[in-house]
Amino acid sequence: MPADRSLKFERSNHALTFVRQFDATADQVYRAHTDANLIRKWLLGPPGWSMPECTHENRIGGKYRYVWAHSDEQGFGIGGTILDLKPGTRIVHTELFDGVDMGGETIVTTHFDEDGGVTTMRMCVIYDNPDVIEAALATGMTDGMQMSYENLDRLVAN
Amino acid sequence: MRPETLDATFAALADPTRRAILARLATGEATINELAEPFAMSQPAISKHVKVLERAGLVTRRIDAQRRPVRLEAEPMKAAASWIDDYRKFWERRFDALDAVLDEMKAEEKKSR
Repeated sequence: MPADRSLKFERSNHALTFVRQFDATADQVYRAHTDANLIRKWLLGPPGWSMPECTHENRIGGKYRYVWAHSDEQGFGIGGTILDLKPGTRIVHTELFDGVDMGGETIVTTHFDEDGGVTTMRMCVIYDNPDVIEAALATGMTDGMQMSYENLDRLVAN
Repeated sequence: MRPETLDATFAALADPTRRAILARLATGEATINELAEPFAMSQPAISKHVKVLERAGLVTRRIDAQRRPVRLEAEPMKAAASWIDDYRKFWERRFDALDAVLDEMKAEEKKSR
């Protein structure tokens, strides 16, 4: 079976999960996530964007920092600490956007699971506060909106 | 979606201040003045952020006597849905780029074998 290259997206109270398959071994997908030279190749944005900083200390307790820049736009950055590494299997890291981000620091766990040359990656973003996830998703429209996930699901489905 | 629209959306949503501005506008329209209040930022700086959002089609400005309030272009819930969609698209494109990097890695490994 070839890899399903569509991006699946699941949501629960405290977490967002992305699921994606790749036509590669778990070791290769893992390396593409932990080697700064490889990371830069695919994390770079649309044409016009550059990454003046792309560092990734590939060890537990190591830091990483990605910064995007554009000649006409304000740049932005993400950084954090690597909490756990299991080569070819799992990466756990903290993630914090620069500036006044509403989401605060999140914990991201990425699992790689290989089956017959296809690797399924599950990237789970966990928020401390369940309100945050709604704010992050719904661009903060929590006050008075009474918007439920069901409403949102219905809208997304339409 | 045309690539330039996607670029504009990428720029609009990538920035935390712009996300916070969208959050504020979800509760109703606001002037640049009002938008600048919660931030330690000048009005021209906020104005610049609003221009980026305008270009991405996320907000519009109307003329009301002396005021030029900013408002969410889509109704808020629809905007939320489109936010998710754009966020997802961002990752979709990055992972599509990752497919190409993995192909390169596989080719290199074959060569060195």
